[in-house]
Amino acid sequence: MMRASRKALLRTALVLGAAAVAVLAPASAASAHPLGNFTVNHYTGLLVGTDQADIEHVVDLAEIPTAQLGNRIDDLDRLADDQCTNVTDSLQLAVGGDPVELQLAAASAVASQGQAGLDVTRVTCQLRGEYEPLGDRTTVTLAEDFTGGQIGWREITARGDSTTLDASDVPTDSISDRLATYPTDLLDSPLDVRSASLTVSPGGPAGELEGAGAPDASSAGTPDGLGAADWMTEKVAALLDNGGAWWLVLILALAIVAGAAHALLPGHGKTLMAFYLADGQARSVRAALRVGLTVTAAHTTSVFVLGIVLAAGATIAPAPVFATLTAISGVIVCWLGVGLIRRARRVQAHDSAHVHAHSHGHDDGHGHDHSHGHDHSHKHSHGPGRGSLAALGIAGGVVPSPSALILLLVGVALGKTWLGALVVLAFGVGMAATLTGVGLAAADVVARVQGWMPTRRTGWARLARLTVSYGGAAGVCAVGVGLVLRSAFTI
Amino acid sequence: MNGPVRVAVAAVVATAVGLTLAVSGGFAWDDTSSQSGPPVPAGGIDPAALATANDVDATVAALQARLRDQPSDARSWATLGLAYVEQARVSGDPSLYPRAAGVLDRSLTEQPDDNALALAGQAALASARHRFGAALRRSEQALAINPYELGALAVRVDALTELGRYRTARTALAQADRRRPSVQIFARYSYAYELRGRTGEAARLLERAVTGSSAPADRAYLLSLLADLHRKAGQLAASGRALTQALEADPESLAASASRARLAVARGDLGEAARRWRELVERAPLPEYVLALGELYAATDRPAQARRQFDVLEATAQLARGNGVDTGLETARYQADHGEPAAALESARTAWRKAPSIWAADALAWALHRKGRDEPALRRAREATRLGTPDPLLWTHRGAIEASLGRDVPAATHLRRGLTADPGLSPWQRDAAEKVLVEVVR
Repeated sequence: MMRASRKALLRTALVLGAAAVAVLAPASAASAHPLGNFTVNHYTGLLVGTDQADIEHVVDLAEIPTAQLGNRIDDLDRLADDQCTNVTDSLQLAVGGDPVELQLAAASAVASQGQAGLDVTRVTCQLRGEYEPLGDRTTVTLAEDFTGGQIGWREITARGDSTTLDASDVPTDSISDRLATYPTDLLDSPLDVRSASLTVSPGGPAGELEGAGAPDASSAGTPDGLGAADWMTEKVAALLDNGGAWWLVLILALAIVAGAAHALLPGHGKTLMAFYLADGQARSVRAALRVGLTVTAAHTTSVFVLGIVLAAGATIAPAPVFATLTAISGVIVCWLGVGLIRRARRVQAHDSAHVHAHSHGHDDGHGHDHSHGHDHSHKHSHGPGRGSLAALGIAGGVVPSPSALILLLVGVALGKTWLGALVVLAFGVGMAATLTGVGLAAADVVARVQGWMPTRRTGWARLARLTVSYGGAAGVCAVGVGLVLRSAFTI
Repeated sequence: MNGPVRVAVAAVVATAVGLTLAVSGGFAWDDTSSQSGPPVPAGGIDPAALATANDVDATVAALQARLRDQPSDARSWATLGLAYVEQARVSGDPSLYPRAAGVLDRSLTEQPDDNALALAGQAALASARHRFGAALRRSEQALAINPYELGALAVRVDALTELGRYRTARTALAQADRRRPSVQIFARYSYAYELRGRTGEAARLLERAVTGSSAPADRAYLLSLLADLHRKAGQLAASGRALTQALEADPESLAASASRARLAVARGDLGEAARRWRELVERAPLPEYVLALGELYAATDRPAQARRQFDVLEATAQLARGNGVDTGLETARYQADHGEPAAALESARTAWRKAPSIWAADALAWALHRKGRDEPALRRAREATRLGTPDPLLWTHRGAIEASLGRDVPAATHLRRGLTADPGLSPWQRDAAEKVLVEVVR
């Protein structure tokens, strides 16, 4: 089920992507292979266990080598078997000096569009070799012996699984992301690593191959995606494929939960909300609900717009759109933060005036009880109006959640657009629920803290109060600036 | 990044890649598809700059390390650029070209004025990418700063030669020899002699160049050229010896492997030739090698296998068209003989416009002939053979065109001249030329 749904999701993603490319391909060439049109590139990932080793080997064939395959490209399964049999023969694994026989466990091949309407191919082979349980500091070597000196990238990585690599002359992570993106540092020569030598001892945390669970990314530019896919989103996507009223309820419920869970992740302005609601002393359920509704509306709208634009195959690149929306959200947050600072200043100015005025009459400077101060701030601080509450909601919802977007796209791809739309709406409701809930709870905490604080207008008490209100406002500003900066880097 | 984000990014990026590229009109790395064969002779690496290193790879590693520490060293950046071009020439790995370009730009950023070495590097890079006009301009800019810049002197000769300006090239060669007599210049002198049919002098100069060269890859390259000259002169044993030495110096040498395949043809061992071409095509599917293998299959009654190689050439042509670059002379020749004559004519015209060399003249002549336009074809064929270059196809093409025009006597002479020019001539081409010769003589 899990596996099947992953595949369905990936397939949909690829279909959508490929469709867009196909629509536009006549107008232009697709991405050229970064390493040249006739390279054959190899990546080997080695996972050393206590009594067996797993190897993932990826072969990335650019346009000309793919053309050299001729009509073998028509039978991808057989092509994968052939290529992987070759790979199995040409990889030499030795543990403690003894050669280990490698068995081909799985082979797959994906063809995708390269330059000038030509195909490129990516073959993934899973191999396994078994050996006697490792002793301490056993030498493990891996060597590639491919026929001829094909031009291309050659990379090896190694990790341990319940073993520890005491020494290794290869890294644990692929710098090309398993032949998906090739680094272009001018001071790096293209990688040409054909052997690895490790010293391994038993004992260590469980490990997995770098590409474990990841689908075959095509060299056309699909990054590894589903490795740690949120199972909730996955479930919903899988359920979308089914039918019936029963399912509908379940799907929507799950979508709400997924949205709620999604909003728990950092970066949805929960802190902002807490401070805003608390500092404004507007922590009424009504204000919180208003924010929640705005979040849902903003989020649903932005997902719909982006989804429709994408499904229509329009010529926009989503990554900059995400970044731009994040930037907008950041600007709104900044604006709100500045508003908070100004409010804090007004309150402070008012306080100072009070201290000054009273010092004439009361020598001891005492006098204002809590309720008095409260009244004052209410009159002068202009708590959050409808405008800023709406802005708060938009800031929280304007960046479309990719999970929701993919659910919508899956719905569209399955011909159930309305269902996708409903799910997105439910997702937004879930998000809003979390945001308002967390916001209200946090606001309460902040208000309580403020309540506990001494109310004297001088000395450390005043300092503490100022710190809380300015600190909060400054924190909000920092979050906004952070969002803008992050998106600036993305763009 | 959390799971769902990655999922969505997978979807979005698959789309986005297509979209952004569609919007931007696509981008093309400057890569091999702009080339018709292995990069042109000796990129002109400055031996002074590369000090005493006889291993480009080691030099590259040293320069990379140095530049990490001292990133404002313009001279090291330029030298690294030259070294990348050199590595690309030797290994045939085109991903080094964009790197070389970036590194040379960096050198010019660090030192925008009087940076002759970086300009010479850009000239060598342009030449390796078969952009001879740009190569000529850059080398002349470099020489305006430093008239003794060896790389620039050498590339200027190459560019002029490839642009078909043979007389100016000759003058430039003499000038280069006066200023910096060296291995690089000997090798170019040798080629100048070979072009004019003076193969004896050409071989002697190459031998001198071999003696003077220390880098194994360079040595292997020069020895392969020497082996070609020996083979064309019918000295098959000498050719074999040179190739043994070449492969001892650099077992990975593509030029030496190709020459070995041609030598096998010359010896009449077509089985070995096929094996060697197959090996080469597996390693580096350059159009020249693919065409040779395809024609070998075609000549030995293996049409299906030949077709497969020709399909690869179709893909190469398609790529070149997609990149908006000239398809190169091998592709034009393939199209004329085994593909679409109309496409061949277009390719040849583009090549001729960019660099009107004798090779472009020959490709154009042959494409015109295939389209039945023998009068203009003969004019081009005469241009192609005007230096007296002992290349078999230049002459068999001219002969075949003359035969079509009914000029039997010169046709027979030129066909024979072509058929005796190289025993390593592709068997398919040999059969085709012999057939025409038989008809003309009858």
